[in-house]
Formats: sequence, structure tokens, C-alpha cells
Amino acid sequence: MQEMTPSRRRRPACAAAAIASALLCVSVTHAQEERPDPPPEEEEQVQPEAPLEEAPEEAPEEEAATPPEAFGDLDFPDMDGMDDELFLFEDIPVVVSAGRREQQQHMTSMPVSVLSSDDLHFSGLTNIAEALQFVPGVDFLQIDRNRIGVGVRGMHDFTSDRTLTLVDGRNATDPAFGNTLLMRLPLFIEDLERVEVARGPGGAAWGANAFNGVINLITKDPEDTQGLLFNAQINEFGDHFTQVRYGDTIGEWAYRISGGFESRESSDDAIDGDSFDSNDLARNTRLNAELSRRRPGERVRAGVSFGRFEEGDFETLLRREFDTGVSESARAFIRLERDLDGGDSAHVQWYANYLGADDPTLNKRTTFETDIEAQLNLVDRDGHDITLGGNMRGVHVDGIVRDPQDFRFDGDAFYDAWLGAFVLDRWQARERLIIEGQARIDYYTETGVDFSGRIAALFSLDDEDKHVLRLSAARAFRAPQRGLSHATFQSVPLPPPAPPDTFLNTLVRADDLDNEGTFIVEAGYSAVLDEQWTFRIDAYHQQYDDLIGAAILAQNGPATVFQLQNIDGAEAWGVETELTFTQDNLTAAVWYAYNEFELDRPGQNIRGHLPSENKVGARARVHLFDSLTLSANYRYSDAQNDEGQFVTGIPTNHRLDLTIAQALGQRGEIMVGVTDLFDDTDFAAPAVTSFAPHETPGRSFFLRVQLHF
Amino acid sequence: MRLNATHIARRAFAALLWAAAICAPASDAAAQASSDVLIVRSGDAEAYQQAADAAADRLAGGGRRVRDVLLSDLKPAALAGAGAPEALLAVGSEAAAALNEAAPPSTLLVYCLVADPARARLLDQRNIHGVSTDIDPARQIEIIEDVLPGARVVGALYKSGAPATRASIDALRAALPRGWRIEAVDIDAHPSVAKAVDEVFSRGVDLLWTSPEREIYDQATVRQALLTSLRNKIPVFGFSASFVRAGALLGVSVNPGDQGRQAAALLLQKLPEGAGAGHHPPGDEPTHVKANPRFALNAAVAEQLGVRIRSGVRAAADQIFGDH
Repeated sequence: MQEMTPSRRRRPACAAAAIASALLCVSVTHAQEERPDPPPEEEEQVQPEAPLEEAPEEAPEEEAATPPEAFGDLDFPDMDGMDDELFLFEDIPVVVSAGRREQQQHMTSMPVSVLSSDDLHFSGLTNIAEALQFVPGVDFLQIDRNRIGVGVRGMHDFTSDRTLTLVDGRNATDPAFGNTLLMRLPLFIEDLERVEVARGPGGAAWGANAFNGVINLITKDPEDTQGLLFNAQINEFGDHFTQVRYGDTIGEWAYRISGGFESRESSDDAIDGDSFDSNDLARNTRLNAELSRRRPGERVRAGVSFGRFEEGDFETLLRREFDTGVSESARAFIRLERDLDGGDSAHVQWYANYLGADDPTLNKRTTFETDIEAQLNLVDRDGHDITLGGNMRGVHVDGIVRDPQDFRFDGDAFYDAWLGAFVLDRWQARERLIIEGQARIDYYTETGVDFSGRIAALFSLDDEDKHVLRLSAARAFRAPQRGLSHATFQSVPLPPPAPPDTFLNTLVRADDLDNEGTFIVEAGYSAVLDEQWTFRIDAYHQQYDDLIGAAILAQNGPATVFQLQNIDGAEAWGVETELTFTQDNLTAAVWYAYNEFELDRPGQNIRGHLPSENKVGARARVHLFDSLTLSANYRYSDAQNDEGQFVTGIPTNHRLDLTIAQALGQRGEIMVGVTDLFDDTDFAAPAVTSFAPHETPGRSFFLRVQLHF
Repeated sequence: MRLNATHIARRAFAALLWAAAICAPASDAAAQASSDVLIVRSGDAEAYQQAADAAADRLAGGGRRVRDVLLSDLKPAALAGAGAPEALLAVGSEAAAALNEAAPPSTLLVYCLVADPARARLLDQRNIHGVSTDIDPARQIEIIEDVLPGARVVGALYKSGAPATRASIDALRAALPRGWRIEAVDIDAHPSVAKAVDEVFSRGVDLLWTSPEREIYDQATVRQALLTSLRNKIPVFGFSASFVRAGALLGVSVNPGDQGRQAAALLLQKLPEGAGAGHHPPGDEPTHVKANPRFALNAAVAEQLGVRIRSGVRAAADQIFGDH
């Protein structure tokens, strides 16, 4: 709740009320004249502690004699702070990502931006990946309708593994390749509490492979999703999305079941008059169930989810099948949290993820991973808040070869193991100084032992910690998973006169790949300027070592032989800044990101796109007339400097999404909206494994209806 | 980019859906064109809406036709003459003050979610009744005694530059049992809020009591108070559920729905069924009641502070926050 401005206190006269009837004038004058002064004995009847001495003076006689025309024109006495009662309902925001424990967003040891559930809801988007493009410092590329590359500060592609994606802190990446297919997560955007995006190496806090940044998708507690929700959306291309969710309680347990179906037409079908063929359709089914129990000092949460993703294939190194594959995923978890003596706390979590993927131009594979982790939070040990923890993860991957052109793991089936241990220490060294240290060591059966770390100093410029300076340095690594280190691949057999078994593209197995490493130094300033405004600016300089990319070993006519190698490093630097404003009916933010990236070696391939140098974003949401909500999301990206990558040509682009949502009483909402109003993102964007990108739909009008019971 | 025939058919389908959705609220609005009771909200804050909804449900259960409107959307002409409501229910101070000024004196006015009825000039009128967000200090003391049986010294903050911030402390002092005392610290006499918070915790207090004074407790002050509380192992009594969730050991809160229901019940009592505008007893004495507080506990903070909460007290709490 924010303090009212004078302009809000005196409501503007609405047009209709401006010609208020003579009856009104009579009524108001009548009221002021006829309401008798209270007899002295009436004061005894009110509550004794009421501060009667502060009752305002009677309005001057001449004011009472002037008939007001509308409520906005009435001169109410002493209206300052007339919304004091709302102070009782003001919320206090918290954020959890940067250090595994709750911290205020401007006091974290690495920069964090947040998309709230309202940001997601009023965006009108049905998938998380698209929403992420409106986060500062995030690079975004729509490769086709099912594959989206998202990367914090670049290095993004749908196969890229440099940004770690988590769901409530649990790994959401593919155990074989390390990338995240965001469109295949068995989640619903309406079930998300918020999305936190941490920029920079976060390996010490979030585990191996949090290399360039972390995207943490935080789901709503079943307690917060009670009742029945029906959500249906359709756009002009015929894409439609439906979700039904039901939540209730049984005794101490709260539960939620969400099910939904999504259908996306291929780019070819969505765009009329095109000159290309595409097969990027999707028919996806998702089912998600969670339950939780909350007792004083103890909390249990568990869930299962299932997804069936029927998707058309995509071109991989010029291999096309025009076939459709069906992938299935299942995820399960249980998390136990307990408060201990003296304010300490602990949790244990187990989860397992299964993926049976069928990508016609890549391979067919099943992957299974299971992970158990434990964490202990110790509070205020001589000013130190200490977190200790560790995890064990087992991975089994089985590749199924259907075709000589399939991607292979050199042995086809394998087991991997990960072990990790970490310690975080947040130390209140001085009244205004916090020192935070993070250290983590990981063992991976393929690449052995490596470590991550972060040291940060947070200095408050004022006693209220409203203005905070941050200096930090961090190190993280990215371990190449078997999909890289053991992969072999050959695509598009060449016809005679080429010798038999000669292919256009051949990937030979890598020699022993080392982990990629990165080191960063950061400086930032964040401020809570007042109840409405927040501001932050973060600058960084980052060094990369041993980046893995595809190197050309041999070229014989059109036939090319590649190998993945630790080719060389890179250097990156930049600054991101964000200004937010929140008032009763208005939420707005503007941000700018400058992300420079320079490869150590000319022509060096890094399996991802370089970041756009300049990115600008803005979002605004305003609630009007009690039931209407207007929302706008805007993003601008420079042309991507894809020096050294095999396919380049991503132009400058900007995107504006607009939505209008009308509440249907308390029981529902109808929304109309348009994504990419300027129709400027329909360009052909290549993946790092694609040589023949095609156009994707740009502007799209949609309609959404939601009903709550 | 052009659309093919299939897409045009889908657009038509979408247009039908849109039209159906438009019709729903329109018909709803038509049904509410006239009403016995007009609920007027000060703004579109969620708390106002919750109170209005609860009041509307209660009034509808009492056989009343109800209409709900934002103050800024209300035409003053609607308050008088033919079609005027028989009674008004104001949600929030701004609506209450405005209706007090503009409504005919014969129209019954009941308010809720008003922080300070005196300031809104609601206490000196015969036909105005209502429910404030004020919570009886004696009830607050009872709750503190239940949770902290040994507590005797209550810390509090005020600003000498804002005299109103002393009023709530004076009210609490008047309700203190024998043997209790208040240690009040003037923020204006210290170079910073942090220093003032340190000062109050250094005076041997058993808890820091807070009241909903915007002049004192912004987010920074709340945070400072909670951090100092944890550091000194001295609990904070919060004035809202959010405050308790954020880290106060205990506190009281006002539920908007409760306020709406209380006000609706008061209105039904003052305006019996069948009575038209101006037909409630003219000599009826004003009724101004305080909020029914809800009692909140933070179990995690209790453990952190080493405070053992008796099971009976836990059971009596309306809300328990247990997350770390």
C-alpha cells in the first residue's frame, strides 16, 4: 500500500457527474445545514480512546454554501492519509533465489529479477519461455514454434546448456545434453508463483552448471490454488490452450491437480502465402498434481507431473524427416522441511525425472535421473547465517538407434553420477556491512572434481538498507554431459559419385573434454527509493575458459567433419539497470542491458548465439474501473553479433505485447490481446545445429477466457 | 501474413466467445440497476473489495438488494431522489467521509474498514454507525499475556513531530494492567530509525509493540525492527498478518471480510426489513464498534527467539506462520 498522492485524494470529476442535478445541490446543502452538531452527551457514547482532539475543524461556512458538482469536487476535510486502513494489508516482499534462503531482492549477492504471478497472468502468454524475454539481461530466440533459445547474457540456443533451469530448485535440464526444452516442461504458467532470474555464475549456490545464470521457476503452493479454474485460449492461427485445475483440502493436506492440452499449428500452416515447408506443430498434454501439509515448524510438499509432447521434427544439420515424434516426461518429488531449535531449519528433498524423447532428426532416447539433497540452515552463529548441504544424483541414459543418421552416445547406454557439497556463509560483519561467501565442490563421473565459489560484500549506505552497494567475484563451471562428450552423428548421405557411407555432416567423438570455466567480477548498486520506486544497476566483467564448440576437422568437397573441442575462451562485460514503479493501480518497469561478448579466437564456435549488445525492455500494467486491466510488455534487441557461428543473421527486432483483461465479477476473466503487435519477430532464426531456418509467425491476436469457482 | 479460410472460421468462433463474455457482465449490471443498499468502496484495493463482497453476501442473505460501486464512479445525484438507496455502506475512510458529506441525512450510513472514524467526522452524526479497524488495546494486552506470560515492559516507537503517533501509545498505556509499563522512544530524537530501534531494545523491554502508524512503520522500519528483534532475542508484536509473516512473533490483524460482515449485520439491525429510507428509528443512538481482531503467531520466529508457545495458545491462534 502506498501513500496517496494529492491527485488521487481529490478524484477527478467524471463527465456525467459534472452536470449533477439541482437535486444533488439541494441534497448536499441540505445535509450540511441540517445535520445537527452532536449534543455533548453523544461524545460519551464513542470509544474512549478515539482521538477526538484531532477531529478536524468544521468546514468554513462559505465552503458549505458552494454546491459541489461531483464527488471529485467535494472539499472533504483533511483527506491526507484517508486510506490509512490499507496500511494494515500491506505486504512485505521477499526473494529466495540468490542464496537458497529468503533475502530481500536488493540485498542478494547476485542480481536477481523477478516475474510475478501477475506479470505472467496478464502477459496472456501460455508458455514460460516467451515470458522470459521480458526479463533484463535475458537473450531470447524463437527458432521455431517449439524450440526457443533462452540464455542469461547470451550463449543461448535450444541446445545450449549455459543457463541452468530449475523448478522449485530442482533440476529441469535434459540429463543427456544439459539443455532445457522449456516448452516441454510439464508445468502451467498459471501455476507459477513467480520466476526468478539470477544473472551471472551461480554455481556455488545452485549447483554444478549454473554457468551464466539461473532461471528458477517457483510454483504456487497447493494452499494458494484452491477451487476450480478453467482456462481456455485461442489465437488467430488456430493455436489453442486449455487448462483445468482443481484444488482442495483433505484434513491437513492441501492438493492441486492441473491438466491441460495445448495445440500449436506449424509455422507453415499458420502463415499463409509462405514459401517454405515446416513441421513445427505441437499437440501437448500435461498433467500435474501436488499436495502439501503445513504444521507449525514442519512442512511437507510432494508432487508428480506427466507430459506427452507430440511435436513435428526440425532440421538438424540439414537432416529433415517431416515426421512427428512423441516424447513423454514424468517428474516426481517429495520435500520435507523442518524447523529446528534456535531458529535453525533443515530440509531433505528427493526427486526423479524421466524423459522418453523421440526427436525424428536427432535420436530416440530415454533418460532417468534421481537426486537426493539435504540442507541445514544455521541462524546467527556470532553474526553468521550458515547454510550447509549436499546432493547425490544418478543418471541413466539409453539411446535407441533407429537410423544410421541418428545421434549416438558412443555406447548408447550409460550411467553417470554427480556428487556435490556446499557451504554458504552470510556474515553481518558490521552494522552496514554483510560479507557473503559461497563455496561448492562437485564430482562428476565424466570430468572429475571441480569447484564453484562466490564472495560478495554488501554495504548499506544508510541505516535502513535502502541503498546498497555490492561488490562480488565468482567462479563457476559447466561440465559437458554425455550428449556432448560422447556424441557421434552423421547426417545426409551424399549420392554418388561420393564414396559409399559419405555424409554431408559428420560429428566425430570428442577427445577428453574439460569443463568450461568462468570467472566474474561484479559491482552493483540497488536502492529502494521509496515505497513506489526501486532501482538497480549491475556491471560485470566475465572471463570464460575452455569453451566447447564445434571445430571443423576436415572438409572434403561438401562433406564436413566436425568435432567438439575446448576451443578457447572469451571475454564479456556489460551493465544492466532496472527501474520499477508500483502504486495502487499501476505497476511499471523499464530496463536496459548492455552485454558485450568477445571471443578469444576469430571464428570460434561456442554452440550458442552471442548476446545482443543492447537490449531494452519495459512493462506496464494498470487496473482501471475496478475490473479492467491493461498490460503491455515491450522488448528491443540489437542484431546479434554471431561472429564465428555457422549460421548468422538475426536482425534487430522489437516486440510489443498488449492485453486487455476484463473481470467477470468474481468468477472469471476474459482477455483479448496481441503478441508482437509490430509483427517484427517473424524472421528466420537459426539454431546452432540448423542451416535452413524458416520464418515463424509474428503478430498474433488471441482471446482467453478464465472461470474460477 | 494472411489468414486462410480455416483461420477465419476460428476467428468467428473467437468473436462468438467474446460476445458471450461481454453479455455476461452487461446483464449482471442491468440486474443491479436498483438496490436497497448501495455499497461504496473508497478504491479498488483488494481489502476494500473483500469487505464489500462479504458485506454484499451478508446483506443478500438478509434479503436486501445490493449494489457495489467505486466512490470515483458514483454520481452524487444517485444518493437522493427517486431510486436512491435506502441505506449506504461505506468501505474505507474516503467513502465514509464523502458519503457523510453528500448523502441526505435521512439516509442510513454504515461504514467499515475505517482507520479513524473521528478524523473522518463520523462520530458526531446521529445516523451513522460503523466498524473501525481499531483493535481494543485491552484485547491486545490479553494476547500478549497469553503468548508472553512474563512480559511486563512494552517498548514502543513514536514521533514527536507526528502527535497522532502518541495517541495509540496513550491508549495502550490506559489499558495496561497494574505492574506493566511502556518504554516509548521518540524516533525524531535519534539520528536514524535504526538508532531509535536499538534504543528501545536496549531499555530492557520484553517486547516491541507496534501500531499501524504509517509515519513510523514503513518497510525499512519494519525490517530494521525485525532484524534487531532477532539479534536481541526480543519479540515484536505486529499490527498485521503480513507483519507476523515477515518475522514478528505475534500480532493481531483485521480481516476485511470480517469488517464487511460486521458492518452488514449492523446495517440489517438498524434498517429492519420493510423499512424504507428514513424509516429507521430517528432517535437511534450511533453505534461505533471496534474490529474483531484475528490473532497470528509465527512459530519459526518463536523457535528462533527461544519462546515456547503453549499448545492452548497455538490452538487459539487464527493464523500460524511456520516457514523459515
